[in-house]
Amino acid sequence: MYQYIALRGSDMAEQEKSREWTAPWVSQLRKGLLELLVLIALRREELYGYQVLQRLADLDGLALTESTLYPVLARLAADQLVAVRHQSSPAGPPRRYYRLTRAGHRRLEDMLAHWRSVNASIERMATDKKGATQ
Amino acid sequence: MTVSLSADAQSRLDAHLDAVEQTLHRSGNARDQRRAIVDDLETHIRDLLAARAAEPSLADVEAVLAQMDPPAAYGAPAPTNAPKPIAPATTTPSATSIALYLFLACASFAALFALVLGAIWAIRRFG
Repeated sequence: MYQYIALRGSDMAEQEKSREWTAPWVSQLRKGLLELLVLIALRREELYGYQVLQRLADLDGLALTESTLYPVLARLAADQLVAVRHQSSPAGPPRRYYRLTRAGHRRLEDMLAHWRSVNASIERMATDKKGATQ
Repeated sequence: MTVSLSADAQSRLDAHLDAVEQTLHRSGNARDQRRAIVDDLETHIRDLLAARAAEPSLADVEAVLAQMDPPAAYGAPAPTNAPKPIAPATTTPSATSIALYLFLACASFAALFALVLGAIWAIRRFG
C-alpha cells in the first residue's frame, strides 16, 4: 500500500516536472501560431478584436489573452494583411472591424501550406515504427 | 444599449488605458499601433461592462479590469517580422584558462631562469 502511494507520488511528481518543462515550449508554439490563427479566424468573416479573441479562446490548447492578440492585429493592419473598418458602437468608441485583404489571403494560403507540410512530416515521424523503436 | 460610466468609473478606465498606452510607448510601438491596440482594448472592456450593467459602477470597472491582463503584460517588444540583429560574440576568459595562462607564464619564467643559471655555470666552469 505504502509502495503504491510512493509510486503514485513519484508519477505525479514526474508529470508535474514534465508539465513545467513543456509550458515554455507550448507558450512559444502558441506565439508562433498566433498570426496564422488570427488570419484563419478572419478568413470567412469580418470581426472586431474582442470577437477574434472569443473565437480563439474556444479552441483547446490555444487560449490567448488580449495583450498578445491586439498587438498582432495592429501589426497585421500595419502590414496591410488586414483592412480595418470603423463602425459606431452603442457601448463606447467605434469598433474596429478587421477583414483579410488580398495579400492577407495569400499569406494565409502560404502559411497553411507550410503548416500542413510540417504537420504531415511530424505525424509521419511520430507514427513511424522504425523511428519509434530506434 | 448605450453604456454610460460615472465620473469615477470613467476615470479608473482611463487610468488603465493610459497605463497600457504608456507601456506600449516604452516598448517601441508606433503611435498609430498604440492607438489601434488601446481602441481594441477599450471596445473589449466596454463590451464586458455593457454585459454587466447599463450604468456600470466603479466596482464593475474594477471587476472587469481584474479579469484583464495588467498593463505590464503589453511590455513585450513591438512585434515585427524583421530579423533580429545578431549580437557580436563576446568571450570571457574562464577561471581554467586564466590558471593555465598563469601556469605557462611561471613555467616559462622558471625555464628561462634555469637556462641563465646553466649558462653562468658553464662560463665559470669552462671559460
